[in-house]
Amino acid sequence: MQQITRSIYLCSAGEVVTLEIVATKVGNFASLTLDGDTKSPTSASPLTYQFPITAPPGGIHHGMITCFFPDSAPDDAQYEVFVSGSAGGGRFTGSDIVKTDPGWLRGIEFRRS
Amino acid sequence: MFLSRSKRVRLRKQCLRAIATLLATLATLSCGRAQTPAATVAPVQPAGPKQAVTCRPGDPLMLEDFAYCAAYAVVHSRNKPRDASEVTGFFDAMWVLALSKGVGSEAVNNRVNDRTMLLLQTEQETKRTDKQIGASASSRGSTTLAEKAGFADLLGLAIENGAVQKEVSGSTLTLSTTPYALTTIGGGDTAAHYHKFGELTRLGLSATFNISDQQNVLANATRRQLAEWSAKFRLTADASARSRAAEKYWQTSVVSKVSAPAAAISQTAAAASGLDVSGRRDQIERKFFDAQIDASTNQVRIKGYVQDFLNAHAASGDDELVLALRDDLLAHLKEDITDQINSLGLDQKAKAKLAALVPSLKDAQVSALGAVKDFQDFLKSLSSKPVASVAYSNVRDTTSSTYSVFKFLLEKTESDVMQLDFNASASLYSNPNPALNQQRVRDYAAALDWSGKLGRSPFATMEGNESQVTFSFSGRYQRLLENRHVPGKKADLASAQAKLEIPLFAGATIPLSITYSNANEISTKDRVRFNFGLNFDTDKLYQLLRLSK
Repeated sequence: MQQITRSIYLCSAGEVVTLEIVATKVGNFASLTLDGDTKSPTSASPLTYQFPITAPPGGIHHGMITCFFPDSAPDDAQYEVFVSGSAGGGRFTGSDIVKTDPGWLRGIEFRRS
Repeated sequence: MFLSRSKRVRLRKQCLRAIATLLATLATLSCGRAQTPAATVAPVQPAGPKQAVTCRPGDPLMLEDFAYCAAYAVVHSRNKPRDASEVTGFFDAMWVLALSKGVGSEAVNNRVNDRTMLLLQTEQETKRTDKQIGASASSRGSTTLAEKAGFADLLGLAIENGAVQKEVSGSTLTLSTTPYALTTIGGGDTAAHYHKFGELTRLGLSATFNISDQQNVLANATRRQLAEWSAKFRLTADASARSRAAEKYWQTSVVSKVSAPAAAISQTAAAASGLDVSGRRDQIERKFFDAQIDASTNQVRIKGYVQDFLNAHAASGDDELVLALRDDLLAHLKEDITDQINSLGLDQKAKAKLAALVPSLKDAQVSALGAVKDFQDFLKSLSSKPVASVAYSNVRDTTSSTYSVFKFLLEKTESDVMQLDFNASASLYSNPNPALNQQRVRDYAAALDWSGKLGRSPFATMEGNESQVTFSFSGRYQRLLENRHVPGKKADLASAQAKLEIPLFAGATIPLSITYSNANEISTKDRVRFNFGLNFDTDKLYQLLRLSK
């Protein structure tokens, strides 16, 4: 796996992607949708999702992360995204979403090389 | 002993000065983001609306909103200053919404007011009236007959003057916190960490100091000035928004609905990728942001509309840059996507799918909004469950001997505006002095407090400050064993109190109370006393400072 930006990753065929959403000063109130499907986490804390790359060459898996912050969470509460692939390349730091950000939804693309 | 008027005035000034210093410190901490150098060229002029919007679960998700959120993420990136690549985190949403505009889909227009969520958050925190910030009833400076079971997570600070049970009236400083904060040093306060150490939030610690140095109130926080220290342990389960119960409810009842807008967008983006326009999408995304390696220098070169805009407006301030970049993004989205809809090779089927996006987003928004409300209601019902605590206090009484107080505290929120607190306690002398008729057991006491909210404070003028004026009626009975059979003293002491707490500004509250006592610990004379104080809740202050940024 290669990181192009914090929201774009280049993956190989069949590579299994692991995406973690680490919540700080807030509960695990986040979710991942991929190509329209809401994914179930493989681990509850930190929220961890795993899925294979099945897109054809040049194709894209379109992901979107939804975060929520309850009223009682402090303003510096945040979610951080970490991405890694089974084909190696390392564990990349993806987007971070802080309570005071206007956007609590964040897109993420997995491009098939 | 009452303070003279001049001393009271001086003390009040010192309190206000200490608070001002704390405010300034917290403001500095909360505004730590590096500021952009002052503009040296004419500032950019945003053409569109100047109000901020949000892209959050339950919000109407319009193209303009995502463009704003993308611009905000670019300008305020925590990855590196003004990072053009952040636009890629919003491109899918902007891409499909620009396409759907091109096929004539109507915009969702029931926009939620900007900053609504942040305002709600601040209002919720400042509305809270369930924390014991001041000293306990046995302290010299207390304005409290019955204690509340809750306590400040961060730091509570209260300065009070008067006395409820004591003959000697004095001034005290109370500091309170929970030890959970200590465990987060180095490890970070993550949800996983909270799962591991969250039980420590059951424990609250506080210390009350007699104020003798009125020139520097916080300098009184020394061992010598220590009047009382307390440890409070919550018996009931964690009912906070970080509890396992809250997370379980989120996963089972909320997540699928709250993710509906994201699902609608990613599904349409995936469908559009399969409509033979993905090649064009990639080309257009590269127009907005592209990173290329320069063969001659082997360095990464960032290109695209966003980087060009940042380069051209490097001297602009953050706020105006966000709005201007939003307008620039919208102009390019219109020019490269919406206006090119007929040259993107979309067939009728593809256009129908895109046209369905906005109506489906509207349905998804309704679903997400309902889920958010359900979740907030669930969190509210969690927080209104009874809270039971036990507490231990060590009181260093200069007029008698040091003694320990064991308490049971119960708090029940009856409704949005009514709350009941019940305390029962027994105290024991460490070293009873027979000459003073003391035995091991000092006293038994019970107190009941009924409190309510009278509405928003007229002094809470700051936006989002919903601090409530509260009233309470309390009764306390104490059986002081050493006073039995002693001429001139009463063993059965009863007090009734009416109390008004008036929030002034940014987390500061003045408690005023009038108390009737049938006697006190050293006199049989009944009397009416007036007490006042200044309580300071940093949780509320912190929230208000963040909102005012």
